[in-house]
Amino acid sequence: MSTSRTFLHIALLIAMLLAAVGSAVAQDRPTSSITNPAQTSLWLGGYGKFRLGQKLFWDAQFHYRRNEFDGVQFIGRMGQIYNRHALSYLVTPNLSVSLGPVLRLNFTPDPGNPAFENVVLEPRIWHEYLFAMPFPRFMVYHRIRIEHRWSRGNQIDADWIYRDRWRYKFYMIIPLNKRALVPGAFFFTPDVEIIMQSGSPIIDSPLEDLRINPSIGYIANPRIKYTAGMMYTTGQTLNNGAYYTNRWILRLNIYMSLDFRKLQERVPETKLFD
Amino acid sequence: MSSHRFGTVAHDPSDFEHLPMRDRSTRAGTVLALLLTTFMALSLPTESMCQTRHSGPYIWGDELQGSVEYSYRILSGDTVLNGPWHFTASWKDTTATDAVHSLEVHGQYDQQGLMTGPWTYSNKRLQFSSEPVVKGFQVVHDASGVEYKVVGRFENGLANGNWSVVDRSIVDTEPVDTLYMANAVFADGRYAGAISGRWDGMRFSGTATGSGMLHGDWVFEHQFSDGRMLQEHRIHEEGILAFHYFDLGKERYVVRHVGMDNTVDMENEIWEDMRVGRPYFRIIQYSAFTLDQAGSVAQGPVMDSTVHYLEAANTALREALTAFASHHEKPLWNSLTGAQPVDRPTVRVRRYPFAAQEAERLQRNAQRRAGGQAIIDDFFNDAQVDVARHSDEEISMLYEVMRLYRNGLGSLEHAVTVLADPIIEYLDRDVLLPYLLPELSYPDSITFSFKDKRTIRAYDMPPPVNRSAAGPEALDIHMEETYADLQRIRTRVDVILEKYRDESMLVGKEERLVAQRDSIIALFGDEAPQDDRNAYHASVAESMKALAEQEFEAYAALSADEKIARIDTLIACFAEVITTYQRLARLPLRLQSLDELYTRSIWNPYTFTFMEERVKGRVYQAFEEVVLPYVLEDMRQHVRCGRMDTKQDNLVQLYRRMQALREQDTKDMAKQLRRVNDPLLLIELLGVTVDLN
Repeated sequence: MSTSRTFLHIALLIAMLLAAVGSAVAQDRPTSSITNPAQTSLWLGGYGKFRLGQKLFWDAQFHYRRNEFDGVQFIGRMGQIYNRHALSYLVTPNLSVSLGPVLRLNFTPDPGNPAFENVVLEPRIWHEYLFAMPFPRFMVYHRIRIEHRWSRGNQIDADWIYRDRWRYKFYMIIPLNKRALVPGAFFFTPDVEIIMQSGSPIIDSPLEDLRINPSIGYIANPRIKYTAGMMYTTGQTLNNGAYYTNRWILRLNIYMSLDFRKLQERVPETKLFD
Repeated sequence: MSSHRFGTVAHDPSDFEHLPMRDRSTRAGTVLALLLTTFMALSLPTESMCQTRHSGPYIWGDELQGSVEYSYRILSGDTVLNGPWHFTASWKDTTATDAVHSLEVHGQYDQQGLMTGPWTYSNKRLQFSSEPVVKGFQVVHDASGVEYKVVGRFENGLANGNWSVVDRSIVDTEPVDTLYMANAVFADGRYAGAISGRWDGMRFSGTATGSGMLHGDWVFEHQFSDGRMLQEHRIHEEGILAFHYFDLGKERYVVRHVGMDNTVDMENEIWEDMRVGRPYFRIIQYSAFTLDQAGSVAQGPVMDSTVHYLEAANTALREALTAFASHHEKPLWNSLTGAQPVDRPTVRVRRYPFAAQEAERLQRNAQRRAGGQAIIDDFFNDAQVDVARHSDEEISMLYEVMRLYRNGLGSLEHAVTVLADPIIEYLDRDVLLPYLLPELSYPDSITFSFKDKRTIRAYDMPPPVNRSAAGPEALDIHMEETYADLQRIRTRVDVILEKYRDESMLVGKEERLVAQRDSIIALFGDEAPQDDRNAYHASVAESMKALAEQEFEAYAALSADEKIARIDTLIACFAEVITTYQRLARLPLRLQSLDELYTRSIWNPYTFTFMEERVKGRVYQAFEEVVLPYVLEDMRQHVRCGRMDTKQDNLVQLYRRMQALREQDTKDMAKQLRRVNDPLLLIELLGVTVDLN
């Protein structure tokens, strides 16, 4: 797919989202938005992409999230644990497509409060379209991720609701101390993602989240890299679109890519699309 | 098959029908009995008497195809020729398209299958000499050419009676000129009686005894162009050449055959019969010395003109005698059955057996003469010798020596050649030798001119050979020393010439050496930019330049002979240095190829990029950080002639070993390499074969 067509699709998606936001604002609500107090979190992520075939990968992600609670910043209470898995297929050197399940565990927002279940499950099905744009000194990525989620609150007897999530993420990887992304390179990643949602439960809060997530990383070797960053997010709350979340999330991630193929299938190490 | 042998009388049964049955059977039996008796009586004797004619193709002498017609009979199951025999063949000439050859042979066979009566052999070569004429149904040409014809008689398969051979020319179908002609009388297959002929313009005549021995006065008439006649007389007595002389008008020139016995006067003499032919004629020629009119023996061999007449007579006699039995060296009668070969007449000669080793000595002398002559010919054909004799005094002197040897060996050629002929056994060498040998002595000193200056040098040449003190040993010693000295001279001259060649080549080589030295300094120096110069060059540059300068200075201080001995080695050394430069220039490329070989590229699905990483990092690290610098340092420290190739080879070996290790399992090796920094130990662990120090 050409770069210009990719941009065209992204622009259309953003226009639709903005129209939805406009219609929500027009409803009878408080005359001004209300931003909730800032909350802090810690997300520890482990990302794995394991090569199964010439173009097939197993995408396995794990997050351990803790939230501010009871005066303890970042790690006060257990937030979520989620497992995200998919099979990724490398369509071209610049495009991969993924499809798979997610199982998220949402922990009670008020530990010890019997009005809440301690843990509720949130299953999802997700698919993703990741475009890469190589430049001489850095890489640019456009990620479209669509999730179909079934969730319920931690309140006792809370109902299940179904929503669709529409996510677009733009990020770059810019090497800092090397001319290319090679082992030993530190890099900077500007990262912005907007997450929209839809479905019957969504009345006036289509903008679920806007994430600004700059990070610094290091490539240890062709198989492992690390990142660390402080992400700021804001978005409408589900129950009332006039209220906006306000979060600062410290994110520490490790990315692994291992080759699970048999040794003889890896030799010779020719480039993938030569 | 003859009809009368196998023919039966086939009567018609109706011939007997008029008789009563019993009478008819009785009479028929009587007639049959009579017929059978008559048949048997006739057929028994004719079983061996009757002749059968045959005509058909026939191969003459295993190569010539023609047709034959003859009669034969069957005797005890064998075919026996009997009666006329006639062979004809014609074939085209292989060189002249309008020439035709023909062969016709005819005669008779007796009842025993032996040749008998007159026989004729006619061999013609004819060419058309007129336009074709049609006669009846034939196209006829007149022809010209030559005919070789032998007419003779056989009896019981042996030549008997008068024979003649003629070689004549034919013009327009008519014989016009007799080129050669001979007549002879044979008895029982041997020459017996008068033999005469005309051969190549010379007439000859003589007789042979009944046993085939030449006998009596054999006269050869040599006709001079001015009309005078030279008569050569060879008087034979029962095959022994007893007297030999030439008559020219009233003057007689007696030929004395030195060393050839002409009388049987001692009991222990060995006399042998010998066919008249080339060996016998060589005996006559070798021994022939004329007597002058006063009766004294002329010195040396017979004069040239006499030799010519001797040879002409011998040739005529040999050709005439063989003409009855062969033509162009192909036997005339051997292709036929029932004939004995026609032998040449014989003579008697005395044999003087060789003493022990004598024949070998005489052969060896001939070989030395031939070998010496070859050396001399090669010497005088050598253009370098011809040039060098004007610039080198020794060669100039040896040139004069060789000239003496050339004359000396030339004068000995006849004697040595004659003595090496095996037929010399029939001549008394002790008597003959003084007449064969020339008066040959060499001076004690050599006089020669060199650069317009006359110079005399003492020179030890072989002892003289002369008639008065001639002996076989003296000739042997003379030939041995001559040949040895010729070999020595050739060797010595070659050495001198080689030196001149080296000196002339030295100039060119020195120019090359200087160019090499300048190249080394330019390549490794900083003055001139070089596209392929790299850090490895820089690390050895000073050593290389110092080597070139020091070696060249050392060479320049050598004497001329030392320079000749040294320069090839030095050129090779400088070439090694230049080669080293070229290999070092290629080293970065090789290292880069190793770097790529020890690097693998891995797709990172997070970045969508390929990332490279080192493979067998510990091995490569040992190579890159320790071993390679050590080998290069070894090269730098040991820059000297004769070792550069080895040092270059070390780099090649290291490179090849690293190539090989990439494909091998090096897990254990990598463990051993851990924390090792000693270059020699690392070289050993990596298994690199290098020659250090």
